Amino acid sequence: MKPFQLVQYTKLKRLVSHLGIAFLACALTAGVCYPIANTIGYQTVGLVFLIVVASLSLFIDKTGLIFAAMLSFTIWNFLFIKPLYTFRVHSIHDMIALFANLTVAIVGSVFINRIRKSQYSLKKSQERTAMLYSLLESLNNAVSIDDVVTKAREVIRIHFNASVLFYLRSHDEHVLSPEPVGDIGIHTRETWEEALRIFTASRENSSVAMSGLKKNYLILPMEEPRKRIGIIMIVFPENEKPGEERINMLKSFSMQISSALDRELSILQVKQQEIHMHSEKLFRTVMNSVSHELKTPIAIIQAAVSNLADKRTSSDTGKQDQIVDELSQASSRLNQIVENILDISRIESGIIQLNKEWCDIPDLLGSLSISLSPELEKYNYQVSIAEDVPSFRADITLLTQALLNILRNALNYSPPGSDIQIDVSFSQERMVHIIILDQGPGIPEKDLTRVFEKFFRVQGTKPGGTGLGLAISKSIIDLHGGELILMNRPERGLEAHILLPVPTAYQPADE
Amino acid sequence: MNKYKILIIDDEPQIRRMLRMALETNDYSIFEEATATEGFRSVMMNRPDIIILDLGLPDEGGLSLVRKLREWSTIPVIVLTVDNNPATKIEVLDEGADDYITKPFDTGELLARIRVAIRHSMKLDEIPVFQSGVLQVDLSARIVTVGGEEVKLTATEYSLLSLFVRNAGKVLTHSYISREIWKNPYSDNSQILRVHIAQIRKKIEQNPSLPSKLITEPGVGYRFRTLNSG
Repeated sequence: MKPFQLVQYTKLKRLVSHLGIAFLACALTAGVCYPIANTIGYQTVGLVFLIVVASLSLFIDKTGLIFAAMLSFTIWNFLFIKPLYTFRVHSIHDMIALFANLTVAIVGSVFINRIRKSQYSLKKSQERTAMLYSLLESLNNAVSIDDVVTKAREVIRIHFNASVLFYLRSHDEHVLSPEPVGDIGIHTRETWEEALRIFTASRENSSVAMSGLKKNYLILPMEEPRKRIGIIMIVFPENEKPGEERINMLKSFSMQISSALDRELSILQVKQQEIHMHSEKLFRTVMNSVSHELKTPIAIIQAAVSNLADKRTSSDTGKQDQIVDELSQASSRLNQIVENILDISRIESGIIQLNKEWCDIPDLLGSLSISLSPELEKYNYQVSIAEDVPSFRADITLLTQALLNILRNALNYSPPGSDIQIDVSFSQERMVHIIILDQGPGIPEKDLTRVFEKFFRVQGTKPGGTGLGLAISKSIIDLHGGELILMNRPERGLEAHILLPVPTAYQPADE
Repeated sequence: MNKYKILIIDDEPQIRRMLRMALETNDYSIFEEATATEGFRSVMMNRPDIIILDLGLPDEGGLSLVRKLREWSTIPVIVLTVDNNPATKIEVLDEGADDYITKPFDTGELLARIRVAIRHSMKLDEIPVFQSGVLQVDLSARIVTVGGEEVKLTATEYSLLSLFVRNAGKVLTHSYISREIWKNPYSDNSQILRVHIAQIRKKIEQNPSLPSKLITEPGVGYRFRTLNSG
């Protein structure tokens, strides 16, 4: 059925029912009054008709009321005013009463009807305000594009019983996203093409948006000054048409939604710019650090080689030995830097797979001590391990390296002869808790977390490190599901806490 | 002869040791410091003839040390750093450093720059006639000859050439040249300068498209190479 016929049909149906009500009311009044007309007098019957017509104005509209007034006029005249059963009236008093009755009936009922209507529209506009307010409130609380979409969809579902599709424009001003934003099932190729058509056409004339009237959906463009946001498409239940009032309401909705989306888009844009700038800055920092860390040992090697090439220097065996020593130091430093860079990129790219084995703390600390033995001898190195520390599964090679970096750091920054202490305990939360304590200068509070950033060096530290050691340690410990926390000690020095979880589910015997 | 004293300020002990070895072999006496603060103290105590300065010092930047030094001293400063960025070079030279060498460096090049810096500070170049290969510049008579034949230069070209010759071996920044020739360091004269340099090269270089005397320091300025400055 086409909408035009539908509208006519419903109007006609309402008119017929109103006329029916009017007819029945008048007939009933006549039927009731007829036997008692002589007792109460025909004048009173006229008043009864007046009351009935006035009461009808509460239920039926203007046409029905006029019909009721005319009908009661006719019936009263025909059945109650002498001469009876004619439309003639002899008495001038009766004539005046008759027309007065008719006028009062028409004017009074139409007036009452008008008040009713304005009350109705007041109620409607209050409803509209409440709806708009609830939309605005939820849109204002939205924190992302998806959030705006979800909240708008919810409000429209509640108030209109309709579902909503959002097509936002993609990077190109004139192109829509091929899929609606958010997850929704009723999207079809056809509706998208319709949306696209309206989006393209809306550049010139947004009234084409109304073309959805023919179907059970409505498509509205979302536009901001000098900017097009996209298309909003409201889909009503099968066989239900939007209707003019709802379309107007939804137009105001789409304006609010579009400005909320615009707001979120701008925020997103600013955020992306910030991210871009940050990553560019990070890249420059990393490049500077890499080039500095790599070039320094190369400069040492080059200077050493040119000293070696100078016969005046290299003829002296003492100097020659020194040069060779410097060369080997510089090249192992270079090697360590390259290894570190490779390690960190392997860890970060996720290529590294943990090769977990059963491992005991004494074994772990033992291999650590061997690797650092010449340096450790210069310090007062103490280890204490609680008896209840269990064996646990870990990648021994990687974990040794993580601990090695932390311990090497402690050695590098502590004065020779000072205490280096390792305490291992097992916590109630089933964590192996390793603490490495030194008596070095500690780390400035503001840098305590930054030292885990790649190539970050605390200002004023000794040269020679790569700025990668702690970053690598942290990544390895993270891979094990553990935690690395650095803390300055109240007196002097640094505590590095390494927490490694030990799941309950296994026994070493299972292996 | 009294040895020239060189102060090395660098936080890398290995660099200091290797520099010391190379420079002592070439008859300089060496002082070394690891921080800007110690370096500054050493300048006052030891009165070095030349300072070799690393920019990335742990306590404060080498740049601020140059600034502090220049308030009261003209001791030549050669900056030695891994930073290869022209903007840093210009900044350092404009703050008053005499030269700039990037790590890794060639020891021969460093020695040549040291010699140039010392000559300038000792005013050893204040000679009326400058000779470099076939090129001769008579600064008192304002005559330039190449292989004995006189070369005609415009007034600006001559001012430029004499500026380079008087600062032979030193890198001169665009803004320094602008200040000296046009008395205006703020306007951008680098285009005009480029044209003049090309003209001078045509007149004094054997192969102007492959200059061997007046060479470009990319992004920084120009340097007039002397035969013994590498």
